[in-house]
Amino acid sequence: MSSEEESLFSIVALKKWFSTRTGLLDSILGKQEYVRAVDEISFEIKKGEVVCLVGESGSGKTTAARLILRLEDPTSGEIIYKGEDIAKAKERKIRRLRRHMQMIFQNPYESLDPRMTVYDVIAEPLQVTKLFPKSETSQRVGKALEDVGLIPVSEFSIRFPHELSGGQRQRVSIARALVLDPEFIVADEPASMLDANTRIEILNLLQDLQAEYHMGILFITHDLAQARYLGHRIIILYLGKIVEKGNIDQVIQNPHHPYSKALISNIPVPDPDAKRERIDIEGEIPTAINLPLGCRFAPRCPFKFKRCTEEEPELMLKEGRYSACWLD
Amino acid sequence: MVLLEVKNLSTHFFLKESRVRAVDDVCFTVEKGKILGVAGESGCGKTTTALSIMRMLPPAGKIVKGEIYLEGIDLLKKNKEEMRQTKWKELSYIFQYAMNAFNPVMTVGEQIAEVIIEKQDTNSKSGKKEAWKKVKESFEIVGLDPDRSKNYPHEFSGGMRQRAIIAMAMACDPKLLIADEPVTALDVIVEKKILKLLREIQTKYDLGIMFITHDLSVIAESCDEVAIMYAGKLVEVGDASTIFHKGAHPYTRMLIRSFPSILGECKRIEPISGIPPDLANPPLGCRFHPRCPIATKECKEEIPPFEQFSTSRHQVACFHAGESIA
Repeated sequence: MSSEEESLFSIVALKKWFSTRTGLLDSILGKQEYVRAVDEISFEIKKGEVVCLVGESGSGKTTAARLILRLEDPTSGEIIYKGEDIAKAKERKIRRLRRHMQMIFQNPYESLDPRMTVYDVIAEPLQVTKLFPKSETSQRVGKALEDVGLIPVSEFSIRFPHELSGGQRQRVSIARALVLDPEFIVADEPASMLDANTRIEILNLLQDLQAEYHMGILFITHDLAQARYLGHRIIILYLGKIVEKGNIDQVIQNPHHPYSKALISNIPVPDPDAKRERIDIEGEIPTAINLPLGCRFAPRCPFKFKRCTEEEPELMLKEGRYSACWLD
Repeated sequence: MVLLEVKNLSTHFFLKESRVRAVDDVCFTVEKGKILGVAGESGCGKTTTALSIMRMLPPAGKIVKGEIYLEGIDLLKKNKEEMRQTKWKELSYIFQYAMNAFNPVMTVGEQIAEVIIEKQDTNSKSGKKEAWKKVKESFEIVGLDPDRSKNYPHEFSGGMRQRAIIAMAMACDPKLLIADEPVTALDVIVEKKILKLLREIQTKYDLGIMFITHDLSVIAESCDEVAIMYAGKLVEVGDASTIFHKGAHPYTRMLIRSFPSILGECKRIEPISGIPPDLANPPLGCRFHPRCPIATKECKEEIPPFEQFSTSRHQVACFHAGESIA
């Protein structure tokens, strides 16, 4: 993948604050609080590139993805899709654009309608969008099923989701996403609920399809090992902010931000004799409501100093990657 | 010293039209002061083995064969009442997703005290006081502030709830702890802390732990010995280093290979072809043979014995143990 690849998405200072308003009195008294789920994040996704969005639960990964697909309206910021800001675009326009963007969800047991056959599940997006002539439907569904390895097609077409294994269901979800020839796919923990062997099958499948159709993929996961396996670039989120972003191998081998360091040093590896340096951090990820002054990670950071609790660090470029830390 | 010995355990589920051989002829031991990790894909019989030891199988499940000794006493010979006395005091069990099973309208402390009172056999006032004292102690053991025992489950974070579950399991000073996927839904940093906690209490109380998980990376991180199960059979047991570096069963090696790592080279991983067999109708011979790259005629016809391989603690069930799988 060359660096001159065409940009698919350019996200600029994207922000989503959820109101936690509890009652009328609170709003009169001005006791308004916000969950800052996504707080001014900026990044780019190029054509044919897998960008991994990594962080603990509550870091804002899924909200960020939902904003990009405009399943959620951003509080502010820009979502530039092929040169055009769609952050405030009308629903009608979004619907038209969304044909080129698809999403694969984490739980294949919940994301498929149990009363629809595999054929109907995959044909549905074609029928809804009317993007291709009706006469092509069965051929396109067949092609999608072949692409995800559910062969023989005639046999799998007539099955219901409950007749499939977890891995096969996830393949159906992928086929449904593929059938519209999307340019961009959000994959939200697509392999995390599966067994090791099935997980690798699904990751390999995504890798092959991505290469073949040159799609952009936003891969959301909490598992850095999966991220490294599939991704080209990584974005590490903490409480709605990007703490570090860059080339995935560079970041994993030599993280700059203390949070990235802690996260990476605590990932279990399949080798009991691996010698690794551990960085221990205090507590758990808090909610993004009453955020501290300065760096959000400072209360848990083992390396914090005075400046960290006074000023919020910005993302700075150093050694080919961006990190937001006063130490860096 | 051997704490738990499971001998030729077979647990089958009797369904309307079929008999599912969920656990078949499984032998292993858990040593005092050691953590045994039990790994395998879903449906391989890990949880059924644990439920058999606890004698908590669902109605369709029957132990058809075998012995289970805890410190030399056969648990399968105990009647219901005797078993009730043994549970929690001698061996306790952390269920899968237990941290989500707290009663939301009782404080966490009350729920742990309930267990202790139930096991005390006295319902007097002093018993209650004693129980609360133990609740506070157990909170301290797992690194929770004892004052938080008066909080409700929703006031706890995921990591704290998991600690509270461990506190509950430790409240009656058991000798053996069976933990079924204790870190599965937790974030990385919390996961690491819970693993550290399990190791701490294991060392402090010379506990034996049977740690069930599908995640071999977590096993590598936390266990002394590893047992690998496949389709209701134990295929290999050994100390962690042996299993991960000198695993002799093709399944063991292929399973370990299918975990991507953040260390080393990032190469494409080839998955094991095929799917695990239907246990109502398992294949003849070695149950792994339909997916095994080095299976021979012998493997299709005969069940490989579970035998000692390199060291005394290393056992494998494979006719071609240690052979290259390319």
